[in-house]
Amino acid sequence: MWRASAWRRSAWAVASSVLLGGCYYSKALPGELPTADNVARDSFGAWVRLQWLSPQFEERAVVGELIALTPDTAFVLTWESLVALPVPAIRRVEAELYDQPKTPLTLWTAAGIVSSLYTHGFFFFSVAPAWGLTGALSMAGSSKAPAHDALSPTVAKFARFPQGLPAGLDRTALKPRPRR
Amino acid sequence: MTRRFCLLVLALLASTGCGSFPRTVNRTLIRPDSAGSLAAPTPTSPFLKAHLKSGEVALFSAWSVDSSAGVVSGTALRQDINRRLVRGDGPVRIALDSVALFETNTIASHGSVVAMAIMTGVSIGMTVYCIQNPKACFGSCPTFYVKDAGTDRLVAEGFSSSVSPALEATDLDAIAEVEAGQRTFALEMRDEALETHNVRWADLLVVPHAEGEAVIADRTGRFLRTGPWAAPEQCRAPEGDCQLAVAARDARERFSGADSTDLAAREVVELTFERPQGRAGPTALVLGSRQTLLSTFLFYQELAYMGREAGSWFAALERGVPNARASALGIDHALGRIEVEVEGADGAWHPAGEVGESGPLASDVQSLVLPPLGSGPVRVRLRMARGLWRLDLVALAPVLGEATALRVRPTRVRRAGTDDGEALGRLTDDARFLTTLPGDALTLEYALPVPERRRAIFLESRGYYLEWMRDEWLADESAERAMMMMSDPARALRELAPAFKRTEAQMEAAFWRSRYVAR
Repeated sequence: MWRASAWRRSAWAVASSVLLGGCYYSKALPGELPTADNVARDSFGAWVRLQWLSPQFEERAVVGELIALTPDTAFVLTWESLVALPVPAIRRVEAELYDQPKTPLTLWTAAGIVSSLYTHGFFFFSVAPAWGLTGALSMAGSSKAPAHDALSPTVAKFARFPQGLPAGLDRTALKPRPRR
Repeated sequence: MTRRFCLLVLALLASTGCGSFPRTVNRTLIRPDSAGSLAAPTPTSPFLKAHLKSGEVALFSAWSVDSSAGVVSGTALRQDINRRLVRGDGPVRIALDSVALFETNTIASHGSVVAMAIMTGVSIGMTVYCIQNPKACFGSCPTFYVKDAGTDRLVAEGFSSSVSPALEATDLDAIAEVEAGQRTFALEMRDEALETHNVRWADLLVVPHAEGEAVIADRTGRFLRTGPWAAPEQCRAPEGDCQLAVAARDARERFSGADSTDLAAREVVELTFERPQGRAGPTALVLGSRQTLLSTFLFYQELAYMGREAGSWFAALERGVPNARASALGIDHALGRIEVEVEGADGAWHPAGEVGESGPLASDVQSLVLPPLGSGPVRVRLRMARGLWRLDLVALAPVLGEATALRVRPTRVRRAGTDDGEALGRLTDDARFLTTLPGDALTLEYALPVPERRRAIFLESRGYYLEWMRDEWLADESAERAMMMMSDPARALRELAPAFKRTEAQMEAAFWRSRYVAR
């Protein structure tokens, strides 16, 4: 009977840790970001969503690949065109530099909770919550690592052209990252 | 551990390897005029990206920089401004003055992986500990708590030796002193272990008394009024002075380690008291104590040896099979209680009786009326199994007379804040049991009589409990050794001494950590 109860608690602990850990989720579409392991070989820019105030004082948003970031201008390539936004007009920034995997930590947490059920005896009731908490915090912490909410120097390094727009570049010739 | 469980954990662990773990990426940009500082490829930073002024990119997998010639050369592929491949991997030589920036990326495991690895280490350590110490888990019989300045204070554990219906017993514990004016009293009764508790009753015995007096109960259940208690002038134990440890009921306790070759080996603690002045009446020895985890270890070891046949052993006890009861209590008898001896006027030591109650959780105060004392200082010896008892208080009390207790049954029982009439009915009907399971917690409320006087409160609980077998115990199953523990407890206590000594130091902490949280 206690084991049935512990199984129920395990299921709750796993579900809670996944839910807590999953509070942050990537807003980029699948294929719009390189995985962390591939980021050194990938030479496209980071995914950004910039909310800005138009000259008519209207809130607008642009979503796409960060092409270049200078102190006064952010260049974003959408599916339609290259957009240049004045940095002072940008009100809100969501930037993701690479895709962080979550599944291994979820499975690791689940394995920890389930294994402690059978190998820890009564300690299960103190170790399982510790597993759940560690798993949830780890998932949340690692998921947020590639996310930024400001156009910082770090984000600028993840532009397609970190040196700024190349001189003489034909802006209409730029193509977005192909969808995988 | 079942095959299904092993397969599940293996599958989960294997699947963690199917994807990569979270990483941190540290991207560094270097100007071409500092290209001389570019490090060679490493496992964590295997690529060099050259962002050309034209917008193209060269991705090097091997490289070297010749600053004097102003070139970077190596093996690289080239991409255009849209990152389409211009040229596959091959030898490349690029002038530094055509490069806008160099980029390196160092990829390492994210801190979350370190945290999970530490948690895994802790969990593996705990697994190893549990495998080595399967008997260091919380066992309790019903525990009783009172609210004290906002915290729950453990005041009693009920019928610790009653591990089967045939051993059902009544237990008496001194739990509180209440001032005149207090009209109600509340206790929380918990089941904090993997046990089924069957409680026939949990009544209060309330003894009114005068200011300046105290009330004690002796082993026969008599209540005695006493004058002020006197702490010992001296306390000598094998390890040295123990006077401070036993002078008052506080967090300090006197205890020792068990003998490494024989768990029944005895030790002696010798106390000297100033003789009570101006009175000719009897004097009682008051002793507050609890057991160490030695008795718990032995009980769990016995259950482990019984293994899958434990039910049959207990059934024999229930059927009244000859000698079954004596055998079941064999270890308990071999360990013994705290034997009290008093030095007579002739200088010889005379037995005065035994005190001490089973259970490692709550310190219990018991008393023993001593034989008539001589004229000098009172010298008392406590003889007991080494490493079995924790002494919290030893005192002498002048006995003023007997007292009468008023029995009070609970008037209200609440479970999670809600009235539980069924539980109240069972606790107030002596023909029925209240059964609780791990995690249960019930608040028992009582209406106190004689509110105009100061009162001593005792808890009288009756019942028995059933210990649940644990999977990890079954590895020790041995009918032969179970029989040896029952038929030859003295030998069992010698043979189990090394095993207990291996766990003794950590057992107390592990035991309390493994408590089933009752909420």
